[in-house]
Amino acid sequence: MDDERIIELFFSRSERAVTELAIKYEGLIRRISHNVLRSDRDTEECINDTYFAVWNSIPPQRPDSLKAYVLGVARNTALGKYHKNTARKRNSFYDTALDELAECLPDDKSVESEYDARELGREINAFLETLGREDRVMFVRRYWFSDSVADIAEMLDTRTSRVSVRLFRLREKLRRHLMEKGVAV
Amino acid sequence: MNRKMISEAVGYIDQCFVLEAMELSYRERCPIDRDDEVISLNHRKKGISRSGKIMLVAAVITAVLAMTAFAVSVLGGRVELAYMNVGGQTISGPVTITSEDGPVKLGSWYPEGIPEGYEITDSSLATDNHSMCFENAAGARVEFVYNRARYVEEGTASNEIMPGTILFGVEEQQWVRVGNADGLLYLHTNGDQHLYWADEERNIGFKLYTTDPDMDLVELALTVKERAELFVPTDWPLTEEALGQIGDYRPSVLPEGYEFYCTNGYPQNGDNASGYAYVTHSYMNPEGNVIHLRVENDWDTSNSAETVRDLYTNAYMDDYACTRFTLGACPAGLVENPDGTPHFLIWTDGEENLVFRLEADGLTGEELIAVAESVALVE
Repeated sequence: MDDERIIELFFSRSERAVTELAIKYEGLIRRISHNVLRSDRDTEECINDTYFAVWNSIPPQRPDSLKAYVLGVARNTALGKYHKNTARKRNSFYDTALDELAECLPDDKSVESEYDARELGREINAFLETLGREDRVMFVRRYWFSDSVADIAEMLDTRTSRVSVRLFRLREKLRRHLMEKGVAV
Repeated sequence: MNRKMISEAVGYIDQCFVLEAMELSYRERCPIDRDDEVISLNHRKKGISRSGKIMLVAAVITAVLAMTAFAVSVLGGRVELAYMNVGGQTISGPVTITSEDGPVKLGSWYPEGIPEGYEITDSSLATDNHSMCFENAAGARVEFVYNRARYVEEGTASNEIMPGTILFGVEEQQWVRVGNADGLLYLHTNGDQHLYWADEERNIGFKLYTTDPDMDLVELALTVKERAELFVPTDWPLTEEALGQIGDYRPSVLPEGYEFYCTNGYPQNGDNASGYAYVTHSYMNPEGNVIHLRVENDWDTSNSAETVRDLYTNAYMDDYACTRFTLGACPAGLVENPDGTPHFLIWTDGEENLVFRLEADGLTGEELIAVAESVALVE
């Protein structure tokens, strides 16, 4: 079923909306959720929570890209669960990815706010626009999708070491980009 | 900057970059870790010469005559009263909601009294949900859905119930009788109507919805009758297209009593946001247990929790054991629930760039593997 039709089902509050959404996107939702949570049980809960969140937000939302919207909701839902779990259990995979990025991001000890995160996100987008496609995909797969370095290497048909080195250089490039923009590092 | 802030900042990455990264394809791989202990199983390939559509209709008739059904429950508990939804508010009345886990027979139902002038514009068929939508020339709509019955607990707020149970703009709710069943009729401020009732004996919940404020939904509900045949869904052409892209892979060996039930699929094309095609064949036994065989192409973009690589590494498995083996020449994994019962079986065909997922309730690992071994392309 095409995305427009699924969105119309949500607007008409048809129960089929979630069924059709699941048929089409559960695989992707599961991937995103599991990359962050690394627990099958938490992933299953996250999938259900994602469907519930999408149901509650469409309408009034009418996303231009249902796929991107659902992935975003899934990621945010997974992150919410991840942060709850963090105190109890450390997820080394996702933490490692975040720690990598922390090396090149601002280390401002002052009050942190959503505004700062949004501004930083804007700068990251501006940075991504300067990259070639492969570099950009590598960065997004690592830090948005939380794919492992090994997974990314497989995607790009290259060696793990090449991906590690490339990501390191991209982080350095991001750090220089942020410094040029006046973002404290 | 703490991890939470970092993850929030990354969350603002533009959708177009996320979608671009989704288009990236894996190179075809069929990795076999030769240091691992593997169990080689024969993978017999057989061809069966029949068209997919004929199989669908014939098997549907067989399945319906077998009088079984299956549905997956989101809630657990004992079925007690009529199926209904809650509309943004708590409801009152002598009702209790739960639904039971386990198989449920849906059968094939149709609102025989659908008014003249209404034509089917959309319908879908799955083992746990059947639905059809009718429209007339004036644009008025009637929707008929039936699935596993769900029940509302007295005093339960609507947001405690899973999606599909929230109604907005409810002006009035009325208790009604639909034959021998209790039902709830919701009248909306915009003239829409929702009617819910259940066949308690069969554990099937029914819903009628209309945008026509003058339609007597209770009268229409009384005309809902069971038919001998399952309908062919309106999106069958898309399923056919997906079958053409992937190929029609089916098992020739099934546990006793299982018959073909239905096929769902979606093709891979320029407009397909999923980026891959999939086909799911579902089989059902007289008790309503179901076997799903799902085949996807471009397997590298599908569920990472099910890629063979993850199965090999077991890196993500907290509570689920995974036994790795080969199915013919294909890497495979049998994933088990924490209680040791099979969860699903997955294998990849690197030559065809396909991933197969076989999922069933109540089957042993050996039974799942026997079904998987028999999966072959239907000529």
